[in-house]
Amino acid sequence: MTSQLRLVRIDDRLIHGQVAIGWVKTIKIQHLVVADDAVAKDSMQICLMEMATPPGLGITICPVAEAGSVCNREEVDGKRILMLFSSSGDVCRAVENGLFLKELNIGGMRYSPGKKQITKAVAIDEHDAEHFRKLLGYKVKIQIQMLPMDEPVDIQKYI
Amino acid sequence: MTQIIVAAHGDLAQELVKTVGMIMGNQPDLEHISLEAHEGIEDLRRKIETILKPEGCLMLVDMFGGTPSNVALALSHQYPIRVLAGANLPMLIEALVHRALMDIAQLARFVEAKGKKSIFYANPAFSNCSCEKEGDE
Repeated sequence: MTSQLRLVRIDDRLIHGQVAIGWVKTIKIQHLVVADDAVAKDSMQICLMEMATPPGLGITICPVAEAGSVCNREEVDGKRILMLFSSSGDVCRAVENGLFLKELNIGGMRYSPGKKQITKAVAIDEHDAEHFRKLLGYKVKIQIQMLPMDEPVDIQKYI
Repeated sequence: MTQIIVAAHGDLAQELVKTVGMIMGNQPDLEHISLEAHEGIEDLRRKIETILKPEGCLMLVDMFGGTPSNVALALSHQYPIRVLAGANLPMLIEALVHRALMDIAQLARFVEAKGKKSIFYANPAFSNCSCEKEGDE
């Protein structure tokens, strides 16, 4: 199996313009993976994700716990993959279930009460910080970067 | 890099360029020209001539028959300008993504085709998708 995980990203909007256009075209992604429990069991959301997938790309939607094994599926064989999660906790859970991760991109984590806005598109709370520390402990490099042309910023100084 | 100029009535051009930046980041050789309520043909012509690169540009105008479109077409006799009417966000994205891969005339044709495909009644497309899904499962 030769699929390549080119980008693993936390983006609470999952597939949207910045992902479908900004990242997919720049790093020549061929397959999107959405690892999200809520989406995986909601046929309407599955449908929206499929419609938001740029033409020519494949899409796999799976529960978080299956994120690690997706890379071995036939449909992604030989493909350059972009994998999306909607939260830091999901990424942690995926890693604990066997996802091998070297780098994590943080795109969008929307503000909600109790969270601290750390960049224009990223707000985190103590749970997120805890998840990131855990991932750093697994030697995952974590950077905030909304678009490919933005300067990546290491998460360390915020947690 | 082929220059792209968006020209439109009011603030539309400026906002289209600003919005595409939100999706793709800031882009080089992408300009916008506004036709304000108090301005006329000469103002617009001057604005275009000021920013136009000598090797020409692809111009996205808001509406065929409007002043930005009329002025751009008039200038296309004098300068290597290709004009696309009916500018929308998907067209601007396609133009930016593909401009390095083709010449201006090819780009105009390509973006025209993409623009036409970008317009459709979305509800039926959405319900077809749901039906397929249910059939699959």
